[in-house]
Amino acid sequence: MKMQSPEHIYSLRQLLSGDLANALEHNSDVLGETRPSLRRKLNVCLTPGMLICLTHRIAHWLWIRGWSRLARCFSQFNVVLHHIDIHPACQIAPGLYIPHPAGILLQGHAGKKLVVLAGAGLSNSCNVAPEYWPRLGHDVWIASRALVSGPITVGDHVRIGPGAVLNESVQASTKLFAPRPVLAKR
Amino acid sequence: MIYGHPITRAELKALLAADRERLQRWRASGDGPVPDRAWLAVRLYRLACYHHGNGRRSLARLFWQANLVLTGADITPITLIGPGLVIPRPQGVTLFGVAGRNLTIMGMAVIGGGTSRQDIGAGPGRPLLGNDVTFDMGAMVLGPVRIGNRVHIGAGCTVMQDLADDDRVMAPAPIRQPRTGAS
Repeated sequence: MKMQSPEHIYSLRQLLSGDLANALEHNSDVLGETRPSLRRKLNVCLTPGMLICLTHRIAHWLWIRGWSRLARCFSQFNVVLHHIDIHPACQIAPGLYIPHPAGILLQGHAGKKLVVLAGAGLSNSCNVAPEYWPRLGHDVWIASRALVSGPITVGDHVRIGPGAVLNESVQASTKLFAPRPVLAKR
Repeated sequence: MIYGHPITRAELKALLAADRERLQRWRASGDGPVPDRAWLAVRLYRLACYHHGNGRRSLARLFWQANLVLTGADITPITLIGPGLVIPRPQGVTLFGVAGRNLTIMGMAVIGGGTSRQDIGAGPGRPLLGNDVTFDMGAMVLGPVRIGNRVHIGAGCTVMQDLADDDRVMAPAPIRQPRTGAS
């Protein structure tokens, strides 16, 4: 199964404006703004989440055109500056939002409006080509410390709860939680 | 290589050659793109370990810090790992203990850092790992525990007890709840 790259569907500008729109949406949820001002937009553009999106979009743009070395340099820039490891081969549709980037590992494909929270991981645990990486639908949230591993498909509107470990495919509109910790007897 | 003894230059070269050879085999075994950080993390760790063992602690600290900044892997110089170490995605990897040969570690795995200070041969409170151990993404081995040979620790597992040879550990499946509407 070969997935078409979003760069063949979306232009770089569409991708970035989608990211900005999603970031603004999340910010206005917090601030209660309905129409963000230019200053607010500029503010959001300079948050780490948006800078990561910019770097990753450029890296992927270079990657699919065969400039893999340069793409890896951009990816390395993300690692050093923001402590987030996004592989340049990741195909992520517009609307990527990463509020707190530290410790995130992304190596998979995702649809629109992906939200990744701190310390989450998305990867196949084997040494396989990008076609076999995990694939997420539209509007998926990966909460803090959640792990998605293996060649699996996750449906639309799925919420992967904090600390959940996902090893198998999930249908659309599902909420996942980590099992409760066991209380040790004192 | 004995715990607590410095490794010689010849040993360092042999270790690096074994790591490189195993990484090349790993690269050739699949068609997944393995980043250059994989090799950088292992090399910087080996150098830090070598210099720390031979009394150059500042230099070791520099290599350790460089590893943390450039690759995201935090591998202390007193960690002792046998030849054939492969870390395909070094993001968030924290290693603190003693391991045998052909250790494979995917991203975000943690070894070490328990609450007990008991010493089982790897220093106070550190785990002792056998040969050919594989860590999936986010797997953790904490405290002074013995892990056998050819053990596979699945994604997101936290292991705080001894494991026998050829064991395979998987994290419990998450609780699913179908949703109505999007929010």
